[in-house]
Formats: sequence, structure tokens, C-alpha cells
Amino acid sequence: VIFESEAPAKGVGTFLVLFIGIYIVLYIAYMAIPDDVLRLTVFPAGIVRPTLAIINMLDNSAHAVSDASTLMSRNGNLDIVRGCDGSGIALLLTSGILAFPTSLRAKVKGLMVSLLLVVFTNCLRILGLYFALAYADNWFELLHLYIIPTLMVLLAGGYFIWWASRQGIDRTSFQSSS
Amino acid sequence: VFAIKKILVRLIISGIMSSVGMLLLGKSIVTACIPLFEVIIELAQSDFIPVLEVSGAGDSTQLRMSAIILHDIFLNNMQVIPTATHLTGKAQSLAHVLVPPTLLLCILAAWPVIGIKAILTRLAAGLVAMIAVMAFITPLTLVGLFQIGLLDATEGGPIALGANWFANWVLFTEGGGRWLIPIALGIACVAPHRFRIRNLQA
Repeated sequence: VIFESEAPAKGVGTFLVLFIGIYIVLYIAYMAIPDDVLRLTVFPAGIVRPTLAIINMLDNSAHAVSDASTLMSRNGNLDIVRGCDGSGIALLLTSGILAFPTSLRAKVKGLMVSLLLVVFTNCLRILGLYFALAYADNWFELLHLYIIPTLMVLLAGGYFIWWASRQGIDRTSFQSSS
Repeated sequence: VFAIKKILVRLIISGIMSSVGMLLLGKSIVTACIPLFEVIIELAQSDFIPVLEVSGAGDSTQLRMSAIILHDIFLNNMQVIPTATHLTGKAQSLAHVLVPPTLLLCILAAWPVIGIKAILTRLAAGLVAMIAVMAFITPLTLVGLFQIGLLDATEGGPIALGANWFANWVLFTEGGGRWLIPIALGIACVAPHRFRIRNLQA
């Protein structure tokens, strides 16, 4: 057994305070990034162009092109705005991993895998939304607003639980009463 | 002793069941919460009386808020919204409203619990957490959307960040805060239930 949830409520309380505190700090930092930097630099390179290439590979008839952070095709346009970049999931995972009482090495590994997970799932999300818009637009709202966000949070939660279960709790930072 | 695989399977199953349950019952649940939402909105501000309704069907179902203005609101030197004006139009998709309670339900259902006493504790804590999730996210977001509308009308352009607490609350919840709140409350609800989790290699 390398992970026990027998940590006292005090330990969980400390985790929660750290988790929420780190989340808020990261959120403020994210909101400080100017819109133009995201719209003209980060989103085109990190989200729009890779997704565009996959769409054109999977759907020859799409003739998709991009303009800054907008993905345009004959089937419809998707505008990538702040928040469509998987930042919410990334902030949750980063906060959870940084708040969890384990070694720095484990945290760095966890964060690297988290980043890949967020980029990959967000790419799948954009692809899913594009194909819903193109071929099943009556599903678009439900997928965009309910199914995909819920799935992404659950996937991130599943990853966090799996990662945490593989860590030895640092009992010097979270004193156990048991 | 619970295997981590078992918890992950429970997370998937509870995710599917909570989502299906919310999709089937969501309209009734949100309709039942309207009096709570209206009380929270009235407590949060003093500019208007909210009138909420669930309208539409299927994917286009929305929680719509109209507002009866309680006192003159001066947008600028030239524009004023007079007392008793009935403003309409602020709405949130029902699917969007249902994400936080769905996540909370998933956590409460997925994390193992043993014994009647622990189950009852979980149910009681879960009920309080669910009321908190419903009370803090949607009503305050609707107030924020209303105030963003006023700011837009005032400035004739995008909202000025930092100009209004509720407008910032909308940005926070839409940026991921609507997930943070149910997750944090869910962890708080399941935290007292102690047991061991076996490692994958164990």
C-alpha cells in the first residue's frame, strides 16, 4: 500500500486550502495574459493549426483554413477564445498536483503528463466539436456545454487519482494523527 | 481495501449515470431550484427583482432571467434605465447549468463509502454541498451577465475587467471555477471516509 486516504481531515483540509489557493493564483496569472497574445500567438500555434491539419486529413471535403484563432471550413467556423484552450482543466490538474504532499520529482512528472493529457484531450474536443458542427449540429450545444466538459473533468480527475495513488505521501508535510 | 482500478471504474460508471440522470431530470431539478435562485439573486444585489423561468425544449432549453428594475439606473449622463422597467434576455443553457451538480454527484457516488453511518453522513454532506453548488454558481452568474449587459450598454464596447465583482465572477466560473467549486466541495464531503487504496502493482 503506497497511498492511504487515512490521512486525517486536517491533511485533507490543508490539501483543499492549497488546491484552491494555487488554483486562484494560477487563474489570476492566466487572466493577466493579454488576449492578443493568446489569440494571435498561442492559439494559432498550439491549437488551431494542429487541429486544422487533422481535420483536412480526416475530411478531404472540409477545405479548412485558419485565420488567427478562427478555424474556418465550408462546414462552419469555430472561434477559439480564452477558456477554449483547456486552461480550466490544466489549472485544476496543476493545482491538485502541486497541492498534493509528495516529492518535487513526482510533481514535475505529474505536471508533464498532465500537460500532454490536456493538449491531447483539448485537441480531441475541438475535433469533436468541428465534426459535430459539420455533420450533426443538433448535438453541438449539448456536446459543447455538457458532455465534453464533464468528460474532460472526469478524465482529469481519473488521472489525478491514478497519479496520487502511485505517490508516497510526504508525512513530514502532512502530519498524520493515525 | 479498494483497488485504484475499482475507484476509476466507479468514477466512469457514476459519471455516466449522473450525466444521464441530469439529462433526464435536469429540467425538473432546475425548475425546482428557481425559488432558491431568485432568493440568492435578490440577496446579492438591490438593483432589480429577478423573474426566472425555464424555457425551450431539448438542446435549446434555457434558464432565462428577466429583471424588474427597482430604482433608476444611470448608465451615463445621457442614458438611464427608469424604475419599473422590465428588462429581458439574460439566459444560460440548461446543459451548462447542470455541469457543476453532475460533477459533484460523480464524486459523491464514485468515492467508496462503507457502513450505514458513513452513507448517511455522505448523503447529508452531499445535500448541503449540492445546495451550495446550485446557490453560488448559476444565480450569481446570471447577476454577472445582467451587469455585463449594463457595462456593455454603458461603454458601447467590451466590458472593462475589474469593473464589477459579478462580471469577474462570470469570468471566473466560465474559466473553470464552475468545476473547481463542486470538486472542492466533493472532496470535502468524501474526506472523512477513511479506507485504504491499493496500488496498481499491489
